[in-house]
Amino acid sequence: MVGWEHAIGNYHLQEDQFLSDLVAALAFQITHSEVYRFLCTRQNFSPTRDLRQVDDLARVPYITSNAFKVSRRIYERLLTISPDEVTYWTSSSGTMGDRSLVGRTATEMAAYRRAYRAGFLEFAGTDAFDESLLFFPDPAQVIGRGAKLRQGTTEPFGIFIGLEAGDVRESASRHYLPEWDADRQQFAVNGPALFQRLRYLDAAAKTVYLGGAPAIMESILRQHQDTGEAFSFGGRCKVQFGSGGWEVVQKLLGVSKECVKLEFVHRLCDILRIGESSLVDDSYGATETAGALMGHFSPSYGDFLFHQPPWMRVIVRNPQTLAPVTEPGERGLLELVMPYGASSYAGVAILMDDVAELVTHHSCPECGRAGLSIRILGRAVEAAGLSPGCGAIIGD
Amino acid sequence: METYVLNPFGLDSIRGEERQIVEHGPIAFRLYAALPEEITGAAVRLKALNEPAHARPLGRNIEALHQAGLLWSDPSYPSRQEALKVLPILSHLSLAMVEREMEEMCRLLHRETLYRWIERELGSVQMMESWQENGDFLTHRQPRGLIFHNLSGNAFLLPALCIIFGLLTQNTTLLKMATAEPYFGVRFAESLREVSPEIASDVAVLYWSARDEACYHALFRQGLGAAVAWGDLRTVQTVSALAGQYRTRFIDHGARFGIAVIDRITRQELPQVVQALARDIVPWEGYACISPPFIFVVEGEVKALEFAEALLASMESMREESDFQASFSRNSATIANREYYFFHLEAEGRGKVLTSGTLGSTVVYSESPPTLKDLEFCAGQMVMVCRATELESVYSALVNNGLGTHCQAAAFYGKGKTFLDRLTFAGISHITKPGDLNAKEVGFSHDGLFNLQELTRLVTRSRL
Repeated sequence: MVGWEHAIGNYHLQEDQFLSDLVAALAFQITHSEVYRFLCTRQNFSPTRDLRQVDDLARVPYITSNAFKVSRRIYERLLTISPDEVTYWTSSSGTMGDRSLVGRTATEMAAYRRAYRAGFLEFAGTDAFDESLLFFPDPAQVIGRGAKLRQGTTEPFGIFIGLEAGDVRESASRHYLPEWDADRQQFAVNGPALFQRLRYLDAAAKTVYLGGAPAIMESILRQHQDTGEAFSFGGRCKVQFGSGGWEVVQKLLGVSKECVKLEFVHRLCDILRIGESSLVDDSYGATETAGALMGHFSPSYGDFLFHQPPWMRVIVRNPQTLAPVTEPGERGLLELVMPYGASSYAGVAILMDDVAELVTHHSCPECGRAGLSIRILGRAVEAAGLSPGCGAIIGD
Repeated sequence: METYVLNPFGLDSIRGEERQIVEHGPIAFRLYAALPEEITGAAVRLKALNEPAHARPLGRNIEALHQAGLLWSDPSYPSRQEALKVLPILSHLSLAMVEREMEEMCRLLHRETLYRWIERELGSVQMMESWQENGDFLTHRQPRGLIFHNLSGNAFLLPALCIIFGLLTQNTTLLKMATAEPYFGVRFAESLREVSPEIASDVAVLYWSARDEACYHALFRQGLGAAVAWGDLRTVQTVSALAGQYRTRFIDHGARFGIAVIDRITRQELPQVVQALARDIVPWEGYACISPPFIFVVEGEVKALEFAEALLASMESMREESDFQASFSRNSATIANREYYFFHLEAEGRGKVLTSGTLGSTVVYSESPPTLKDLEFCAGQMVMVCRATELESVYSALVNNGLGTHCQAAAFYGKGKTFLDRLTFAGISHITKPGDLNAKEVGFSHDGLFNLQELTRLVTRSRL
């Protein structure tokens, strides 16, 4: 088992340390997960023999994010611990109709919360805000209320992320805005109340953090459409997206998928008078991995550029050959490799069903951060299993 | 990104302003999602046309379809040129396959083919137009009225076929297009309008979200002659529930799949059989609902594993000749589905995942018969070869694993021809040789439903 405390959030983590932790984590998983051992044997892979340098990473056998889907009936076999030792069965939202379940203990929960926290702080700065307006459902209303599964409980993975975003000086200044609208069967924000609060914060020259799902944050646009009201926060406001839902925004704006992020960021900047779109970030993560990628908005790309933190490696695999892409602009399937926070399940190398584009290997052309940068272009698989065909399972 | 505007076909005017953008890889469509009141209006208009459509000689409909076929056969026809750009993207078929399908459609639209089709299914054109002698009785076929087709998936010939069904049975037709393929039905209806605005007015091609229940109720409330559900289970359930509520005739064209049964072949026969089966699978990239996801091999001289290996080699060799480039979606699904069988079959010593190339074809060899669950994962370039000890075990698998009711066509090769009756008893509707599963011939049904019969009522009268 590999500890994570020395690594997650450590921006000085050395490559040698990462590599030796990776070898140890893989050896642990091979020993404790029968299916991962089978996969490594089938691919003739031994971490101690085959993993000598970071360039060897692409050889590490990956598990797909789809493997954790409930319908595939493998998620328990992917554990490295007994299913009865699982404290939290973290679940995805199941927007595609089939949720993932990943068995974690308190150690893994702490690791992924730390990974998100490190990312949020790195991009938002460590100074606490006067007020955080969070477009996440209130975790206190959700955590601990999931169904019992064996000795643990099922918990939505994303809800814990809301606990780590937007540090404030006083806890009373954190506000979770969405409320469950039983009629519409979705979370919604009270637009007039939100604008009233923003009006006060703006007039009082407070620093404000807005964080959460674009799908819920679109309430700012709706309220602006109704009232035309705008603010003048300038550099006093930071926006960090998380949890996705861009398709909801796309529908509201009536623009193409290519343009939705640029359009949404511009409109938010206009309404809040943020001035610089570089004050808007996005985060990427998934139930199946402990890692999170943070990205800042790039006006020239009209998209977010995500950066690889030192405790994680990103591989973009060519969709035909599965070899890592090497040229900026090449697109492929996104793989996340992280030896930390996956001691309870075979989750060190996860091949996502998302498509990414390599922007640069070395330093970000815009913010100068070292290491690999990517864009994340969206889902590769419309539905696990069948692709749309005349006998497809997709219904619309 | 190239964007195509798809206007609803058959609406007098558009009241709403919102257009929905649906992206498919490098292209996008601007769709108009019809409002419930517009759907009601279209249904009222079409129902008013039921009597004139019935009174019009069937020969005129056939001639209009024939002329539309001539348009689509013409390489310089602008809609054809556009469709050949758009459809390979929507259907994930190669350009060559789309061209082949287009030629197939034109052949189907030829007046001689249309007359033969009516004769095979309904007896004669006269059967639609007047009372015919039938022993002690007189018989006649009557149109059912306004037919609603709810489309899903991306089989692009389907909307054209639905329009053809309607015109050959003197019904009026309203199509709800699918997000996966919102395009060809509109263009086909537009081509019909170029030939005959009067006949094209019997058709409406609209789009709305499958989740928009108000739209469905607006339509069903008007009283339909029949409602036809194509494709996925959810669509079938939605439409059948509405049909029950409004007491509308329901026709279930829900997802079905094909199989192949190979009975004790010799090593000498092996190459020709696997080549023929590869023809049923590879050009279609597994999308056609009649491509067989499951192949039962009754072992004789050739064992099922040997058959699976030979089939993989044959598929790969055929694949090298095609210009198909799998999408991200397909590749991601292939990786995940291979993984599923690594863990569920190979790791448990119950089978083997055979692959060629990094993301080439996949043949899953299984020592057990498939279940309905396997249908979810055997898609695209994946087929499952299942070992069988005797033909009767194939029958048992179809019946006991609930596969039979989801089957349609089967390719059969082998000695046990008496088994063909068992196959059809188990649920198969049509049996062919390997290699012919996708052959289209009018008057045959791939799923057991004869549409011209389904969309008409056979009425009788005694001699008065």
